[in-house]
Amino acid sequence: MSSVSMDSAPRKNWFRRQLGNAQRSWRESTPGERVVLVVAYVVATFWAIVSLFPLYWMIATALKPPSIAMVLPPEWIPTSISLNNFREAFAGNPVWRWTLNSLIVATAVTAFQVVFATMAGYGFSKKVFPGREILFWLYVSSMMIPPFALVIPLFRLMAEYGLVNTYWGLIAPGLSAPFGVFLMRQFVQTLPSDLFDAARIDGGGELRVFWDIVLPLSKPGIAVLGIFVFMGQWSAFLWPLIVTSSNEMRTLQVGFALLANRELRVNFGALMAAATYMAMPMLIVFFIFQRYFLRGVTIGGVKG
Amino acid sequence: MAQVHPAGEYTVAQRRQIIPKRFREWFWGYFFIFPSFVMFLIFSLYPMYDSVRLSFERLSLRGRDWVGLDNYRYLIHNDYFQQSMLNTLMYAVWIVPIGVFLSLTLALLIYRLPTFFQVFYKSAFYLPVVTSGVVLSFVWLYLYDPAFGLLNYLLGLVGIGPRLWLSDLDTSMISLVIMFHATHWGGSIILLTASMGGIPKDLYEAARLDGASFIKQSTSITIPLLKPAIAYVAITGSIASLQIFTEILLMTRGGPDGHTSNMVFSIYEQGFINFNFGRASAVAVMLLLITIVVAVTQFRLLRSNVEY
Repeated sequence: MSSVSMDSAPRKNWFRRQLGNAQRSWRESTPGERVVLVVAYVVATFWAIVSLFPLYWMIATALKPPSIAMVLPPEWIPTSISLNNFREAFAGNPVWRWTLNSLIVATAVTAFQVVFATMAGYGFSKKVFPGREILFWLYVSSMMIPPFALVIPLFRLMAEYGLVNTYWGLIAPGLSAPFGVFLMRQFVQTLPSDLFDAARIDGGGELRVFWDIVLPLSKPGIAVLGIFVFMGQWSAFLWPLIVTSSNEMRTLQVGFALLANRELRVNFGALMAAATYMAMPMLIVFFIFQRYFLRGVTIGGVKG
Repeated sequence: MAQVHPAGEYTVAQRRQIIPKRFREWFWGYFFIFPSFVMFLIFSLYPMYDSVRLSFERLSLRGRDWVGLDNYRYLIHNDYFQQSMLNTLMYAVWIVPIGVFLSLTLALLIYRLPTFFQVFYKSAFYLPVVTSGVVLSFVWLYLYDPAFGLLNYLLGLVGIGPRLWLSDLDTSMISLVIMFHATHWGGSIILLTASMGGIPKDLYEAARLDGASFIKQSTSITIPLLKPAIAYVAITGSIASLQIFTEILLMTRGGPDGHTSNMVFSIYEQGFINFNFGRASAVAVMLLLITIVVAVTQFRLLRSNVEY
C-alpha cells in the first residue's frame, strides 16, 4: 500500500472513504446484486484464508519455542515468542554464506537483464531493421520452452568451460532474457517517439538518447522487470541445485532444501524457521512494491 | 522529411543523405539488440539445438555416439517412464480446467467489490506466489504431515481418520494438486480482473437495465469478451502444470511407487541421478513437443474473434 499516504490523519480519512464506498455500493444495489456481493465477500474471504493461513502458520510455528512448536492440539496464536527454532535451523550450516550467494546471483542477473532487456526493448520497438520481426518472434516463442528442456545442455556447457560450482555458472543462464525483452519492448513502445527525435535534432547521439531519454522514461518498466527477475532468481531452485556441488556455493533455497532432506525432515519448528527466513525478504519486498507487482502481472499478459 | 525533386526523384545530394541514414538506423537497431541476442543465442537457442541432438546420442568417455532413436525406444518401453508421462497429463487434467474455473470465478466476484477490498483480496491471493516453491513445499509438508500436520488434526476433530496424504497411493497426487491450486492462481486472478477493467461499462449498464442477473451478465458479456485473457491463463496454467518439480522432489520424490513422478522429474532422475544425458534429453524433447501441442491447441480453441 505504498501509494497511500502514511500520515495518520489522511489515512484515517482514506479508510473512512473506503468504508463509505463499500456502504454506497451496498445501498445502490438491487436485492439480487446484494446476494452477489455477499457471495463475493464470503468466497473471496474463504480463498484469502486458504492463501494466507499456510503462511501465517509457517511464521507462527517458527516463532514458538521448539518444545511446543509441534504440540497438538496446536497453539493457534503463539503465547511466547522464541528464536530458538531459527537457531536450530542455522546451527552448523553456512546460512550466511548461502544468503550472500543468493543475493549475489539475484543482484547480478537482475542488473544484467535490466540493461540488456531495456536496450533490446528499445531496439525492437523504435528501430527499423531487416529481420526485426522474425527475431522478436523467436524471442516470444522461446518463452514457451520449458527451462527443464535446456538444463542438460546448459550443464554440459558450464562443465566444458569449468563454470560448474562458480558464481558465473549460477548467473550465466539467467542472462538470456526473452521475457525481459518482451516486457521492455511492450513498455518502451508506449513512449512517444517524438521525444527521441527531438533529442536527436538537438544533436544527441544514439547512446545519449538512450542514456538520457529512454532509460529515465523506462523507470516504471524497469522497476517491474527488476522486481520480477530478482524474485525469480531468489526463488530459483532447479538450476542452482544442479550447477552447485559444494555446500559453500549453495544458494539459500538449495541449501535449506538439501538440509530438509538430511536433518530437518521432522523438525517442523526448524523447518518453518528456515522457510520464514527464505520468504521474509520477498514478503517485505512485496509489501513495499505492491503496486508494481499488481501492475507487473498484467504488463506481461495480453490486452483483452 | 527530405524534399522531393520536381521530377519525382531524389536529387543526388538527397540520396546521399537518405541512404546512409537508413543504414545508420539498421546499425543502431542491431547495436541495441546485440547483447541480449548473444545471450539468447548461447543460453537459449544453442541449448535447444543441443538438447535435440543429445536425444539421439549416447555420451561416453570416448565422446558422443549417434544412436538414432534408441533413447526414445528405451523410454517408450519403460513402465516407469510411461507412468511419468501419464502422470504429467493427469496433472494438467486436474489443474487446468479447475484452475481456470477458480481464477475466473474469483475474478468475477471480486471485480464487483469496492477498490479497497479488491486490492486486499488480490494481494492476499498473490502472496503465496511471491514465496518460493521451496518455502511452499516446506509449509505444506508440515500441513500434510500424518502425525504433526494440521490437516489430520482438523479432520480428526470431525472424526475422519488420519491419512498418509503424501505417501498413500490414492491421495499423493491429489495432495500435490490441491497444494498447487491453493498457491498458484494469484497472478491469473489479477490479470483477469485487469482485463475486465477494459470492458466498456455501458455494456453492463444496458444489461442491468434489462434486468440481467450476475450470472447472465458474466456468461453473455464478461466471459466472451475475456476470451484472450482466459486463453492466456489456460496456456500459462497448462505450461506450469506440465513442469511441477520442486514440490515433487521435496515432498514425495516421485513416490509412492512413481505415483507422483512426472516428465520433468524424469529429466532430473535420468540426467542427474543416473547421469544418462541422452535419455534425459529425449524426455526433454518429448516434453517440449507436448508443451507446444498443448499451447497451440489451446490458442486455436480459445482464439478470439471479438472486437469491442
